[in-house]
Amino acid sequence: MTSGTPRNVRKNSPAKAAALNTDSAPSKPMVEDSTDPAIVKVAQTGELAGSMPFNPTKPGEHGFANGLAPQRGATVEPASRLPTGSTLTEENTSEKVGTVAREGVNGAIEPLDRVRVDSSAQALTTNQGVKVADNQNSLKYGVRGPALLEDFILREKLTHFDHERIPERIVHARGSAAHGFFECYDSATDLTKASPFTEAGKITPVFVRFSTVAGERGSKDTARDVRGFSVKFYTGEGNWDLVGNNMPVFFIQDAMKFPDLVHAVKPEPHHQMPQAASAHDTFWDFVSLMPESVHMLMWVMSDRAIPRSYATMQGFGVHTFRMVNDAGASVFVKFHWTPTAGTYSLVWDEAVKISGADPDYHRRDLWERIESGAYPEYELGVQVFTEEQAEGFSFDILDATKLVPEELVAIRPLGRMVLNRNPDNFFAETEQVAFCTAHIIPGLDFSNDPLLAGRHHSYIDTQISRLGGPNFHEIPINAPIAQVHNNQRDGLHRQAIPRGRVAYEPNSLGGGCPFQAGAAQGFVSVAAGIAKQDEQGKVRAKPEKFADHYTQATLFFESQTPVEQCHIANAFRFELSKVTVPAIRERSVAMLRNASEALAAKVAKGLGMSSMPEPLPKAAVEVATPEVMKSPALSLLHRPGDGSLAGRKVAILVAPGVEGDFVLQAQALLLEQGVVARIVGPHIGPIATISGSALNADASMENEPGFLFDALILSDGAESVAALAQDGHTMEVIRDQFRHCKPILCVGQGRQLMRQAGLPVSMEKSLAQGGTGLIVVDAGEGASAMDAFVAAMQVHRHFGREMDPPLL
Amino acid sequence: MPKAVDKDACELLDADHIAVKHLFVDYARLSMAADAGETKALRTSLALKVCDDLTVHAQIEEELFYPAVREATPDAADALAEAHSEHQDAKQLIADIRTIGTANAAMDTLMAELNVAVDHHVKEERDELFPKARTAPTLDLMALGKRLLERQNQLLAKL
Repeated sequence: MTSGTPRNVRKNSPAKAAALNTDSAPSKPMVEDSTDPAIVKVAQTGELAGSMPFNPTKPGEHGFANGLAPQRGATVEPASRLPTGSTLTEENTSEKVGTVAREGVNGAIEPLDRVRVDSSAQALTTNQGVKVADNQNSLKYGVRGPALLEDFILREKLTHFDHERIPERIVHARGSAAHGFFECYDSATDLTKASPFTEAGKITPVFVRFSTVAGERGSKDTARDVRGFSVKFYTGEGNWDLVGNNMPVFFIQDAMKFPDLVHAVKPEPHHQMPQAASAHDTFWDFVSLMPESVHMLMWVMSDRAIPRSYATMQGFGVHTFRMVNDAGASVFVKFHWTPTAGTYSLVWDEAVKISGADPDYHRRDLWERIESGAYPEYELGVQVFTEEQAEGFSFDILDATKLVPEELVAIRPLGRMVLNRNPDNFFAETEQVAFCTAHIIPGLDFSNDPLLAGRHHSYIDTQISRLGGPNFHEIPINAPIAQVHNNQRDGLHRQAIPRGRVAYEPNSLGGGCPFQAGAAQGFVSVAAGIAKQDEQGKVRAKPEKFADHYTQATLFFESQTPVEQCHIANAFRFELSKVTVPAIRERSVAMLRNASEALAAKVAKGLGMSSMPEPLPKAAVEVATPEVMKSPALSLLHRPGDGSLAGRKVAILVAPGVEGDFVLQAQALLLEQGVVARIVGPHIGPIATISGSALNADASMENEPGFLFDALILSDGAESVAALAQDGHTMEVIRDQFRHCKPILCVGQGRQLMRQAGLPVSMEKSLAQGGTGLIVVDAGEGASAMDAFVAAMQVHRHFGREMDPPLL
Repeated sequence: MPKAVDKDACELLDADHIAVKHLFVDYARLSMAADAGETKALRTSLALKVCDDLTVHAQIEEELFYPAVREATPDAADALAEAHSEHQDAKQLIADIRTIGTANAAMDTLMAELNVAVDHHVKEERDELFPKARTAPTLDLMALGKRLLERQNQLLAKL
């Protein structure tokens, strides 16, 4: 300590003596010409406090007009950094304390690099950095003696291990995530001043987590369920979370029913079954008593609940939000994410089988797409409408069980999102990321949707318990890239080290900092009026239009193609067949009758009901005539995408004696399309070909069952076909591919396998007609059939061959 | 293509079911896509083919298959009566589609209705009528299949 050594000791000794105390001082500041830091600090602190003789912004805290345009907080400039510091000794540095806090900077928001760990060429250590000499044995008294309590290495290791788990999310526990970016197409400042939309080409980093809702953390990906689609935008104006789903509506209208809904769909509390499934008594008991859920039930029973990939599903903000421009003008918006690759789903039989063979199907698909450069991409758009337009709609835009048909309000594209980086660590990023609907930024605001209001509370509340305290915003993945400065302090696991003694506002001792930003820079809520506020006070009730439970359920069903309608009916049949209480089944069908008599009749027949129950009484006696009676945009077929096959998988079945040249040719041709074609044999490893060279099978029919692939190639070769013909797996592969309506290319003698698998003769006419997705060609013509095969893959599923029950 | 093999009556009729379903699926896919305005000609030709194929299919069922099943299995009477009535509904939809002539939103709706009606009809035939026909001891389905095929070819040639 050299620079702190007092000079002019004699001359300034009274001031110095006073300045060395942390309590009590003379009645007047001793302003003396000194270079002694302690004296300077006292003097400058006095000046700083004195330069704010009163709080000048106090009057501005009052009245409605001031509330709309709050002032910037008062600040005063300190003479130096001394008075706002915590300690004079901050000038003393070390390898650990570092230096002085950078002026006006929160170091905790630096890029994730600050916490990345790479252990190359490093020795194993304890958490205290002590190198561990032996990581194999606990410390014992003699090789056969008792273990010793003093073994701090063993105890640290076990203790940390014992505490590795954190509570899983109550909903959306099962998830997968990726980093990426949002790119603005054009300035949308006419709509919003929100940072990501201010100029063409502007890039905003994002972290996106997809999830199922009901299943636990380790549950299957392909459950019939809503998918979470949550996007965290790290904007220059703070973090914005768009916490959406892959369906634009929800089961309930008010957050008061959230716990009831979730308790109903979760495994039943007595025996904790079934996992990740809505096909059980308590769910259907609840929803059939809550007919506002029927619109959402249509979505969840549709193929949208079993997406092929996170890259092939839409996302929605669900609620009505607001966008606010620089002039303070606000409009209502509904957010839409549209996948560039188009909307594609699995079929139910396939989803069930996948959940056994690969419960990580969607997680693996997302990871592999990104790892291979087939980056998932989505266009973000908004439906924009005014408050006046909303009042005229036949439905209430505050009702989360209603959507705004695209035929009524078209989608305006704003930009695109690309997911181009996998996380380094699942726990640190995907598990610890914390989303909240209340995380919005200037230029955005909420509607009065009562479900949304409850979500604002629940997300923060649950993160506090899940992530162990109120400082989860400091966990690296959650930290904004925008500066974070406030007077929130302490709490479990606090990371930030705030400089200075000011933890309140207004203050003069910190020069007024951090000051309130005021309307020019800060977030100001839209001064939305409450309709008829004179007649209405505090009340627990819903708006009248919320009572129309069925109109949009009908719209959704009527807007599907017959195949999609059939899948919806089959899903209701499956789910309700799993119910053990016939009265619940009947009540559910009674509810469906109000949405679609045809659907209800089909479901009832499928459930073996001899007669239909009376329709449920309706909550709304009269409902407004809907503006749109059919909305093609609600069909999965409306968005075939850009035709890209990137990320899809093909199985090429081979056995010894296979015509190997074609296999390699097909594999190469498919790879050009971004399709991963795997050579699947009776076993992995070398498979001899006709020409004598060996192919290397990287998957077997045992370890990668056929239903995991988007399409199948049965290659030629007499011996290969003979070997495959005596392998029961082969027939399963073919039957599943056929049943799931996927393309099959069959070359030369490979057709014998189709016949053996039981391809019905009644398929012949369709094969001659074409367009079946079954491509059967003669020996040597495999390569020239590849274009047709790729075209068949672009159709994805060939539902012409789908019969109920299945042909094969 | 695999070599055509002789089909029994049920297989022959089911081949029609599957083939026409492919056409319905193609039509629906085109009609739902965002570029539906650009596929009118294709949709029109698909719709007219569906109408032709179903007309011939209904006619050979009514002329040959239903009477043969009625004779061989008296307990199929109810199912046959329903099948007849469903044919009448389908014929009306086919007439309406032909009247429209060129694909448009109204035709899309009618084609979807016809698709649903045919799906329903097919399911009943496959679930109820075919098992009865297949187990009727006096019914020679191979011979009946031949007659159905002949008549079908005859009718198709007239189109």
